[in-house]
Amino acid sequence: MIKSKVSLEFIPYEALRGLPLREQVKYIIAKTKENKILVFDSKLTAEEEAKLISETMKNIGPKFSGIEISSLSKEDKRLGEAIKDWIFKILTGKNRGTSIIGPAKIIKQIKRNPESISIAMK
Amino acid sequence: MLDGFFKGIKDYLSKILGVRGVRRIGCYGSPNAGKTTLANRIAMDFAGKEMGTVSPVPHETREVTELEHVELAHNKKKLVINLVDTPGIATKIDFEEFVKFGIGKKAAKERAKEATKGVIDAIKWLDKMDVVLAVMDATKDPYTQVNITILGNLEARKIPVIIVANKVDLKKADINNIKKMFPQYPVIGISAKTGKNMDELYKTIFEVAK
Repeated sequence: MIKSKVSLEFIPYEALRGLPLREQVKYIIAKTKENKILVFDSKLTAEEEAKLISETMKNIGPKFSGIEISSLSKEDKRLGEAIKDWIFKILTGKNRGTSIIGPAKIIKQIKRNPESISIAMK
Repeated sequence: MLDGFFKGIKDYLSKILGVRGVRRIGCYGSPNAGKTTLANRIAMDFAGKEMGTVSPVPHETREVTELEHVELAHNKKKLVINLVDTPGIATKIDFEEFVKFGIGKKAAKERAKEATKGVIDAIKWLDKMDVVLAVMDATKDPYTQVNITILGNLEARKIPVIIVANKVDLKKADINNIKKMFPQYPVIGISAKTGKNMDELYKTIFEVAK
């Protein structure tokens, strides 16, 4: 028997580009409250992560216990890739990489090491 | 944001005038990393009193506390600091976790509510810090999102960091793993509970906070 519906959404950074940080965070929290696991094609900045944690705390209640999040940056140090990273950052203000964000009530843990991310579900 | 601006001016004036005022040093980390045990250890060593209560139940510290004008002394040098203990930073808080420790449901919900405010306050206080002791439990995997977010925010704010690998008195402790994961920071292994290697930490605080 399926207890709850969980979905995985891949979201290109373009979809959020142009939105103020507050709106981006609001969007992420709204999606996670709908039991969605979000995968972004960029790494959140440290400031965005802090803002996301603060706003998550404001939303915690009986039905929402918070989020699990993991960001992985692209650490390819070859010159060509470094230039691509630099251009990507100039154009988007973001770091190349991946971010996974999901609701804590269905994700037990997002475990990461410098090269990979794995998700353990409850 | 304004705090950061004023801190920048203060640091600049201190630098050109060659004087250092009181340095604000904060303990940051995940719940149960040993922040309050460390703050108590430093406060006891130099002010003769403790800062907060310690508990195995996560989120025992739910308010930012500051002990002003603590005079650190090491190798005939002195450093005046305001010592700040902060609530553990987390991305999730579930009141049912507290119930498992024997806390009643109503009290657990209240604790969770206070803990969420504590996390928000801890993040707000980041801008006010001159130096941060990033406290990590050396018996656990250090490569967590909370640790990475804390270090990333300090780096973005150009706030000096010392990683304190706590609980080295326990057999499972692995300082080398922390050093491997965060090679760009000074990592000092200590036991805030037993006082092991605190001299090394004080030496590093003097070096970083000068």
